[in-house]
Amino acid sequence: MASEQKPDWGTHVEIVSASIGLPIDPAFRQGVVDNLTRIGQIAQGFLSFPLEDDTDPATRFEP
Amino acid sequence: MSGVPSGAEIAAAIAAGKMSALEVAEAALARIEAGNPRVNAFTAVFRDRALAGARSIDQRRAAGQPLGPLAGVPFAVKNLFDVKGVVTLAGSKIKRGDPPAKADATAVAKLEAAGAVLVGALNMGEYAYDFTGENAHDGNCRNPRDTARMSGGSSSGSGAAVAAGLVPFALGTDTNGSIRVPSSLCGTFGLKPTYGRLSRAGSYPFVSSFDHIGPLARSVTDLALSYDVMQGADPHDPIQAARPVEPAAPDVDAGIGDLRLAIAGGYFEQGGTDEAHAAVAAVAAALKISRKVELPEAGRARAAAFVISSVEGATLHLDRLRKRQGDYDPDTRDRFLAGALVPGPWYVQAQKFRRWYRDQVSKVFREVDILIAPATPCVAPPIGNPTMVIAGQEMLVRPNLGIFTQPISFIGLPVAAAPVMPAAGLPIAVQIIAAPWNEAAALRVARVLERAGVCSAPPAVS
Repeated sequence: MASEQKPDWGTHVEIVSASIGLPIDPAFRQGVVDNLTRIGQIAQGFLSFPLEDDTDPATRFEP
Repeated sequence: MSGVPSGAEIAAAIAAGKMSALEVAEAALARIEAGNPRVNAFTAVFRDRALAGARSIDQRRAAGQPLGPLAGVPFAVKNLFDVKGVVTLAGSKIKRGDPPAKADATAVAKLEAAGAVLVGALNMGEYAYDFTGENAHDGNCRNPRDTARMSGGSSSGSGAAVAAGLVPFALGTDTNGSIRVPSSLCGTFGLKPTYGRLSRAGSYPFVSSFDHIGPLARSVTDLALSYDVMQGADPHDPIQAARPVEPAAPDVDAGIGDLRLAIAGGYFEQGGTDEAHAAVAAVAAALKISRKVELPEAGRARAAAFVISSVEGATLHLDRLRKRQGDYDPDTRDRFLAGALVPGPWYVQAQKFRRWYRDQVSKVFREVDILIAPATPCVAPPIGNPTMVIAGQEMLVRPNLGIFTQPISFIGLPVAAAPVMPAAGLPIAVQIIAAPWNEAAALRVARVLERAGVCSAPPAVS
């Protein structure tokens, strides 16, 4: 299953930064990969929590 | 006894003619000149503006005109607040090329309308993405209790200036803990009001979903007075909630007999040093709290706050990250860049979790009025240390100083930070957390602790 694969953040940084037009200085690249790895680990804390489909995101807008 | 008069005492003395606002302003400017080099809290001092403001107060008094509740009280602001005629830095190198602000931030204007005298702008972590007080452009802001240690951030200069006694109160902002962390590490009182309570207009943003403004002060009364005058509708802030002005100062000494108090259990009882948990125990003993309540899934709330912050912060800076990534502070740059690459569904799921968590915590506040929790997991770490050891586990300082504050600001609850001075000699604060819109209750609890001598700002050292 895809969710059990170890994320390849190095490749993700390469591809996504190029695709959104955010070139990353090679000197900063490892720091970005390290931080994205940390975000990915922390994100599992809520991504693994089941929520109902009708739970609205808490972003706020009043027309 | 700090030896530093509170803002309320200064305003009363000026109103009574015992001293002039000009004398107070000149004394504050002299204290800053003498004491700031030790802590590096100020990035600008507004001497002419302060003296002009003070003279105006003295003229009003001489003419028999009414004075505001903060008449003649010196204050300073984190340098992300707009000050007319001054470039708003937000702790960055990049914004140094901006034109000066055309108008004062709403909070600055409201405080001055109440008679307070703006004396300067304060150091901060770059773009508010910081818990340490370290800044590559303006230099590290140092802790007045021990200048080899962190002040905490991102409202680092606000915490250090107040703790050093350079000003009675200062303005800061709090997205994930940036008022409460420096309050804890430096030893000041702090108030992060309910999300949407105070206007953010004229303050440089970080994470729109969580950004708050609020005061840090050496006394609870000063927190309440400054908070009260900053309330009120502002058409320039589209996020501000439609709430009436609900003053806290008139009842700050009303006691807490009507409040249901509890300790935050579970998540908040783990992951801190002995000092952090001892501070909570000392406050619980003073308030005779025996009840314990858990905020459900607080750890997941902290995780979701972390991801939302990374994405919204990066989105704000995306264009600058393309053009000037080398001009960012190295300690914020890589985190901003990483946030720009976070998968979109994670952000939406984090906002969905926020809704769920808000609903669960609302149920908790049907049963209690106040929760007590640690503000930081430890006392101030040494400057420059990337890691710290808590409960035998080595961890990074930057992402972990906010583990106890993030689950609270995530859903915008009002919190007063109240500092305890343990025997070890470095302060550490507790969070006094209330239900939405009940800042007054949190301040009443803080005032009881202050009167009992359990919580106080440490003596000024400048």
